[in-house]
Amino acid sequence: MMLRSFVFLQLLGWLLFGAINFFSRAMLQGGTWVEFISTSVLVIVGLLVSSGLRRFYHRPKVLKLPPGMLVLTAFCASIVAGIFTTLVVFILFEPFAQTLYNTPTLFTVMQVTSNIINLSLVMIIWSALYFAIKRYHKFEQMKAEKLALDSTLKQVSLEALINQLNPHFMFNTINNIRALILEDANKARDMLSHLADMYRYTLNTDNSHLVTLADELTMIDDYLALMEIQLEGRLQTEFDVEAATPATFIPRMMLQLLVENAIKYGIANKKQGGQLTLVAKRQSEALFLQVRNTGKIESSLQDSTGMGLNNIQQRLALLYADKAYITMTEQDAQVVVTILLPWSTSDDSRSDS
Amino acid sequence: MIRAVIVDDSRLARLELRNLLEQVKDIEVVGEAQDVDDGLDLIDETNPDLILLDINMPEKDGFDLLSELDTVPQVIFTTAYDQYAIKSFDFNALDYILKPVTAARLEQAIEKVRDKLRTTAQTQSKSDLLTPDSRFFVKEGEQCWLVKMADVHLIESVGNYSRLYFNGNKPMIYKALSKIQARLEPGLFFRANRQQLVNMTEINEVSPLLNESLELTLKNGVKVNVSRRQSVEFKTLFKL
Repeated sequence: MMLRSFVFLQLLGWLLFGAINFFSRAMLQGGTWVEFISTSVLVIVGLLVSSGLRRFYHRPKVLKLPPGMLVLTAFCASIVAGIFTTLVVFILFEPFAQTLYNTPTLFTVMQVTSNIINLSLVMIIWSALYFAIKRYHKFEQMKAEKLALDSTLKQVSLEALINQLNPHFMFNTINNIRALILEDANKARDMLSHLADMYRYTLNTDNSHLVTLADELTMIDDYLALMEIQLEGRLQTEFDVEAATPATFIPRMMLQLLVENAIKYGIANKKQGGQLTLVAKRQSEALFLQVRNTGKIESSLQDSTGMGLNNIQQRLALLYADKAYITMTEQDAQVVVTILLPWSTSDDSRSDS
Repeated sequence: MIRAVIVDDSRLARLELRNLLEQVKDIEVVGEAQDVDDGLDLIDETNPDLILLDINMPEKDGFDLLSELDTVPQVIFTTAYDQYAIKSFDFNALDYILKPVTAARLEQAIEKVRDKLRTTAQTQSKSDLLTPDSRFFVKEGEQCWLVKMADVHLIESVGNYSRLYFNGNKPMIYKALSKIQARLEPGLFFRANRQQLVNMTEINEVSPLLNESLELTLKNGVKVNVSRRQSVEFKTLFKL
């Protein structure tokens, strides 16, 4: 248990105990200042003694006890603490026995035993509460740790997924290149180079989360060249990349994923094909990226594209916290995906996990 | 000679297939199409024995093409990576090859086609009518079936649609019952009433009802009431 939450609960618990004790006695005997003082002293002593109990429960030897033994130890310790508290309070008040309580001595068998029993009971309840709360905290902590682990695992598998070439694309491309060898061997050779470059990029040998826009655009060029032999006249592309932007850093494979989705849902599934537009520019302290494709946001496809966007959103949140945005809208018969990233020309903003 | 058409949206994929098929002696490629609608026109025009059919195509896919055909010729699916699409229906009647296509795998698929063409050649009637061996393709949601006419025991009218009953399945097709009836070879199905067509070979029991109509019990236990007018028809047909 954290020390701060212990101190807080400890103070709260004993104050509550003191208040209940004082008011219940006040109901029976009238709330005199004598009662108030004796309750206050009792609370302070109890607080100190039970803090000592915590120290005891924190000893490695005690922590290592099996559950049965621990219960027995805690029980005995609570009784010792009860006796100790009683004795301390009695010794403190003994000099004032006559003035405050009108008795020659507080140490009568009756008084001592009844107080020992009461205070031992209080200490037992204190110990029980202490262990229950400690247990609860540990449980919560484990839950939080498990959650964190889950999200890390998810992130890892997400990365693995992102870095994979779509098998549908791979096999279609290889099949197309086979045919291209018959038709235009030189072009076929170029296509094999594009495929090799693209594959090398996805291998991500230096394990970086961030790449320069220039690198990502080279990869996208490879990809589009290969898509062009599949879609031929159906695919039109337009690039509008400001000169300063290629040196900036962006999450690896993010733009590629957007281009892939735009082609898959906006162009490859249309008989007449369509146009893909890619924009990159500086917008004050942000990098503005936009991928547009002709078409509509189709509700039937929203699930799968929505999931793609969700994945990107998660990645952005992990890499840039709340400093990056992604939106998908429909404008002038075009599906428009816009991303704003913090402008960065070095990759030290990376947050490797 | 097996007359084949290729339907694939990628020109290079078609080129690749055509090139491979050139090496197969008994296959003649009679046409190519780049999408489902062109493909349907081509099939109408050329009436091929075999379709080499891509699954993923723009707007309509290979399954859509098949479900728009009245009768399905031999089909070989060609696909890059669509296990899920192929697994989604009972495809033992349809073969598929994965891209990139190899000559050996293509030859294997064509050998199966040759076998099937040989066995159906004797039973296939020359007319356009549906025979017990006629096969057609049904797609409902994510599920697809290649159905043999002989397996259908009941066809039921549901407005402009018809519901087919076969092997525990009952998908709907967008065709009116009267249209289906007109396409059937005579003597194959019997119109029991306004709503239902019954496969004659599936009738197990005929019992007369009080109002002079008949009740048919099918082999799977389903009972079908024959309207009074059709009962007369049924009796003359079977000389009861």
